[in-house]
Amino acid sequence: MTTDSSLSRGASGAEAMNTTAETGSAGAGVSPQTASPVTPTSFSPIPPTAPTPVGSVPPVMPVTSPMVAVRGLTKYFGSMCAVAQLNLDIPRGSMYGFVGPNGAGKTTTLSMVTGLLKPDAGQVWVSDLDVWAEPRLVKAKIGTLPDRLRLFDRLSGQELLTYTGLLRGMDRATIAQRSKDLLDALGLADDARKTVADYSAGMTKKIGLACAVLHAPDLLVLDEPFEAIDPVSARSIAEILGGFVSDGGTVILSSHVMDTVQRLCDHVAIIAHGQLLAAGRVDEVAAGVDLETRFIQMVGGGQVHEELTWLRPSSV
Amino acid sequence: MVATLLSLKLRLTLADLKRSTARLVVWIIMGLYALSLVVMGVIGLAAASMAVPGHEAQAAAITVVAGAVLVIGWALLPLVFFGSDQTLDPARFTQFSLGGSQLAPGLVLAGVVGLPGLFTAILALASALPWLGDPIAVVFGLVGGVLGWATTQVGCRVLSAGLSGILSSRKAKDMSGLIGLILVLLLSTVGYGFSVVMAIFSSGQQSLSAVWATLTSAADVLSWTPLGAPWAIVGDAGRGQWLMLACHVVLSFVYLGVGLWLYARVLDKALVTPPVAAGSATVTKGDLIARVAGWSWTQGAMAPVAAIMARCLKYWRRDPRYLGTIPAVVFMPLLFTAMSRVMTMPGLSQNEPVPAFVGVGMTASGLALMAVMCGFSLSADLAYDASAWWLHLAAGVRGWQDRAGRVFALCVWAVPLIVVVGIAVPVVVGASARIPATLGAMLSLYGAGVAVSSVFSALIIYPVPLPGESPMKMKTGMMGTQMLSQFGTMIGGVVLGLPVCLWAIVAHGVQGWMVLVVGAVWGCALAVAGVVIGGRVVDSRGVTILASLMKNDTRERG
Repeated sequence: MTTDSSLSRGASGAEAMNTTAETGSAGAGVSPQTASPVTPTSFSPIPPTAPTPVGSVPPVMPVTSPMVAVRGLTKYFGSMCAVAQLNLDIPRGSMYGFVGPNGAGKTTTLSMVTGLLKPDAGQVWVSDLDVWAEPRLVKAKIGTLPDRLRLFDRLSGQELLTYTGLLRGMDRATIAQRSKDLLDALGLADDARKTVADYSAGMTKKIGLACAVLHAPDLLVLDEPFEAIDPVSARSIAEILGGFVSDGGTVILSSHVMDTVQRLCDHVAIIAHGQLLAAGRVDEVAAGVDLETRFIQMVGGGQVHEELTWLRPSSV
Repeated sequence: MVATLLSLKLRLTLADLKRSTARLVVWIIMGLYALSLVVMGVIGLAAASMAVPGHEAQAAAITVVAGAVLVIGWALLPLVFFGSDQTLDPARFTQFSLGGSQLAPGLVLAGVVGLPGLFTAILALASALPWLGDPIAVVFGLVGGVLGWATTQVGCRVLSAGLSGILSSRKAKDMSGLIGLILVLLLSTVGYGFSVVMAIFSSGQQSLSAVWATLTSAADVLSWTPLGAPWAIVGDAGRGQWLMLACHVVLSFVYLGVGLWLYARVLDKALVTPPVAAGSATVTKGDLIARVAGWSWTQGAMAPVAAIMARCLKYWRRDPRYLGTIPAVVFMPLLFTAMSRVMTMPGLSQNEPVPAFVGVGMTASGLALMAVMCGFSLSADLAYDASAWWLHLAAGVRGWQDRAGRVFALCVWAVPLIVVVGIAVPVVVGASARIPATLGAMLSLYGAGVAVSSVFSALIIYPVPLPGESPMKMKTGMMGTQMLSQFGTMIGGVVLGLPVCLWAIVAHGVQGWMVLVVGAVWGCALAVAGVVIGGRVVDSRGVTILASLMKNDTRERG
């Protein structure tokens, strides 16, 4: 562990105490293991040694702790189990693809990582901070683009960026500079004054992405960032994300386009029915074939059923 | 097709109710309440059968007029509660190769699956009951009831389908919601004005027969229109006017046929032109958020407060759901003042004139109600954000910042409004000396309303129209929970503001100014307490709040 990170940890630990003291109930429900910033020696709640994830590979960056550590994460919606006992490590500086069939629990997992959904069991650490013990510290480190949630769409694109920045506690000069850069980079400059309600699906996705990266977070959690995005914008988003990762940032993105994941990501996790099927470096998970073939092998299905032989134009 | 659509509507309605026990309970309570009204109506109509012999003409006239009111009510429904029941929205059938004439009868009949349609049907059939003494008339009455009910449904459908074609763009929808709201307010004044006219009319010693004469001539005209034709059948049968009866039956069928044909045409058009989302895009002039955040007090922890305040201000200006609450609030003191003026008008009543203090009390309670209502308009604020609120949660906004931003935005228009009304109304009623005390009481009530709303809105997220929907759109379970929450806020607000109000009633002279100061301070203190406590609730329930906001949101999309 480097001196640098332990210093920052000490600082964040002290902040954590303040936060917990201020917000009172926000810190309630912390497990004893993590709620011990009282003793100076145990400032950082280091995640327990990971039970080896299913289909796992040795940690890529053994020097530092993972950016995101997920242990025993479980979520039920009524009697339906959306995520079951999920264990996952996301290394620092990785571009991590999160793939799975529809309804696999991708969005649910990502929402629990970003602190927008409370898990029924299990824990998540982001940068060694327990998401549910120190929500505000964690949220400051994360930029997120949720899928299927609204934006404040009566604001213009520009206003939405300003709003997001101010809520994040940024100063106005920085907000103005960065939002201009982002609007230019994403090709939204001409539509900055239009209300977001009048944006197309792709433009809405892009302004959401701009809001997610505005405060220069350590970790980006992007749910379906390439959905409804045209190839030109997709290229520029990929470049932005690539630059972010090469500067040491970490990106988690979900997708069900295997090509995108194989091209962009260095790591990938495959999830189905709320359970982790495989996780690791893309080439290792793909195991010699392309990711899509591997994905279909693991998830099952893919054969066209005999019963659909009638599916041909009826006029022929 | 009719059976398919009926069962579809039934399944959709049941599935909707199954989603939440709380909503089911509210639905059952509302249903029982409506049912009790219907049962009372049916009993009343049956009892009327004893009075009918000898008064057939009057009974016939009343049936026609009441039936016509029913048809008008149903026709205005889509205008006012635009898109109120979209369970079987024609736009959802665009993908199937169905013609309007295939869908029209089923969609009309599907109205019976649903409480309003069902209860209307019961009442329509019960319109035969006053003629219990004459079996033949009862049979024709039942026929008339069925035709009358069908007319209400066709009228409603034609208008709503026609409107949804015209009002497809977002701006037009925004406008229609507002117009509908203002219409409701106007109609309620018209109703009130009508009762005043009636009061004057009857106080002028006009005989009852004059009223009857008006009623029967109105019925005579109405019975030839689509509004009244089906309702005239039972009266014709009861009085043995068989030629008239034949005419009315034929006319009813013709009107229904024309209505259905029209509806099928509208559907045909709606089915091939799927709703277009965009009109011209709204372009903003500047960055309001940045401007407000540029004010000197908005530094540090106040910056998110300023941002939220600016955003809410924008919504108060742009979003019809917010705008819609303003006319209702302004209307309250106007109505009460006008009522007290009319009531205390000399010579209105045949009896002793209403004592002046009743009028004063009425005016005062109008003002008090307005002050609490202003505070109450915060209570849907969080729910209006819908799932967009995730941003507040993800950005780590503190609860008190969330609450305070909304309160500041409300104060921008509510406080000036309270001050203006609090000065103007006492001047109008000739009680200028009471201005300071009035203002003091109103400010304390407003603060109390704000405080209670700030806390309650974080505890109870009731279903509201989603962003972009009409402000008048009703949600399943909205009426019940909203009324409950409104009731709670009113009680809470009144109790908290009561001490100052009581003092305001007895305060005279210099004391009035003391009431003003104390009321303002007390109101501020309450508001601050509400922001702090409400903020704590938001902090501790953040994830739960987002979950219920998302639940309301996905209900409509999924």
